[in-house]
Amino acid sequence: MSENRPLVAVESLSRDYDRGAVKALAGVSFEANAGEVVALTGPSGCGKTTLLSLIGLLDQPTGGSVRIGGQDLARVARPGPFRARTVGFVFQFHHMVPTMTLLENVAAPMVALGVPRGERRTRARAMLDLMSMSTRAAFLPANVSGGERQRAAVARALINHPPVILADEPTGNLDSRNGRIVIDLLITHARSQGALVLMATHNPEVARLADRRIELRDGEVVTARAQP
Amino acid sequence: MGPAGVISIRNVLRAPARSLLTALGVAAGVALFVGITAIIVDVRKQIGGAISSYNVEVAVYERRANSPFSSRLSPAQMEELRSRYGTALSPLVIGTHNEKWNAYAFITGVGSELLERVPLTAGARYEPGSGDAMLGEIASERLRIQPGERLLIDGREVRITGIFRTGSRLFDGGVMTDIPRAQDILTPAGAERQYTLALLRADDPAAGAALISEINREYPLLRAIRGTEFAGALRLLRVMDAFVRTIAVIALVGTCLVVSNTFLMAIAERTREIGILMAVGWSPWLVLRMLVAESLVLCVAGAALGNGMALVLLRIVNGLESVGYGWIPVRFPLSVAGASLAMALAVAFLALAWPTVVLYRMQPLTALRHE
Repeated sequence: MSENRPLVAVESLSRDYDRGAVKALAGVSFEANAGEVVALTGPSGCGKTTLLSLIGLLDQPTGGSVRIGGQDLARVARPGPFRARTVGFVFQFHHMVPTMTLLENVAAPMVALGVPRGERRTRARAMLDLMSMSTRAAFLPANVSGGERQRAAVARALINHPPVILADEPTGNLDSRNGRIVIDLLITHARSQGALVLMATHNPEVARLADRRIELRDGEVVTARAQP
Repeated sequence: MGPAGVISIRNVLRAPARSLLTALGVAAGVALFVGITAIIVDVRKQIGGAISSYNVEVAVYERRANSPFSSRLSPAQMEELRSRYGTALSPLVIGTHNEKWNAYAFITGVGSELLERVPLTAGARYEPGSGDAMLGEIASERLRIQPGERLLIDGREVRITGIFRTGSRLFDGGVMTDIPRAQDILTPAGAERQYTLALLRADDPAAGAALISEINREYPLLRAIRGTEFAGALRLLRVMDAFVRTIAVIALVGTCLVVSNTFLMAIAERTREIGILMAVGWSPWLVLRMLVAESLVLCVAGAALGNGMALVLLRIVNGLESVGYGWIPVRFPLSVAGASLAMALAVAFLALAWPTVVLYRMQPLTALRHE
């Protein structure tokens, strides 16, 4: 990746539903660099989740383009491995697989990249240790607290050292104390890995922790400014 | 077992009732297949074994008969064969008779040359012309009759002189007597006494082949076959073979539908989970691998259960008075169990055809938003 090139370049991105009747995104453009923490803010339905889904290759845009590290996402042949290598997701509702232990959930993105089983276990255990969760490794998600589930979700997002972390209301389902723990872990470890964090949030306190804030309204960027 | 196996077991156990019903569905198909195959394999083995135990190279029967057991050879035909082949020829009368003690009592009439070679477990051989008989070992155990005791055959008290064991349950579940007495029992009133088969011993296979060729050429009303081909020539067994193949296909399709339905339901219920896995980079192929592991768990469990059910089923049918005894095996060879396992494995893969299509059409975002 070039030093001068932005890590993520979003250009005139739009996403319509119902044959154009609903415009979730209407020509959004911005750039973001490695190591940045960018907060996406705005009211519900403004297009934050849609934007993250398009950047994460979970959905295809109606128009415009997204480039990650110079790679046009429209030209990605195998989205699965690309996602596993390039993007880490943290969702509002932890989204853990209930029949997998926390260790197995954290290791899941490595399966997509064909990492050998032994290495998967070692790395997943080390990552859970970083999140102070090593004692919970063998627990199923149903048997741990919501805060612990979300910390495990952060571990899963970081496990493959992806350059981009997409977090959709990562604290939206947590109390303020647990929310703060999760967001600190996310930002600290993403920064240590030099990853870009794109974080959709309603929470002004969480948004204040970002380096930059992009505000969306009705599918368009209304403000984009750096924060002190 | 690896982590993937453990996860598959957890997924199978998350809906225990449904998994149990699916495994039982597979088991029912497997039990049906195993039970019927076991009976046919066993009957074929028994008939083939019995004929070969007499060291018979050639079996001769009526050409127009559907199978050797429905053959009728006239005394004149038998006499002609005897005059040509002498002591190498053994006439045989075989049939089933409805007796009070067995609805399908297997009656075998043998001449003195074969009688000498029948192995006994108790008592002695009957005296030809005495009207006495020998009882098969299985019949003896079922009826609790020992040498010296009497058994009602065709409305007459017959003295049992000995207990024989041919190794074929079909024969060992019945009675052996001399040819005239067997003809008495098996020939309808007013009809001419007839023979069922003529067995010919040859010195070696080449001589046997020459005999077959000679009889088929010179006796247009007769058919000669190798003793080893005897079971294959039985129309009943050929029909049953076709029946087994049909049952196998029906069982395969039926169990495929059961397993397929289970996995379509599982995918519908676990859509969001599948979306999560896709979001973290799993391709549909990786998700499919997980479902294959689950399908294998269910189908292998079903196969094991089905084999057990088949054993129980065979034992029950074997004990039914109305079926007659000696016909139904209570065990089956490992090859049949192996075939049933292969069938279950085929089901495990084939049943995922439709779920695979659903999986490959699934969009990660739609799956993640699934309620």
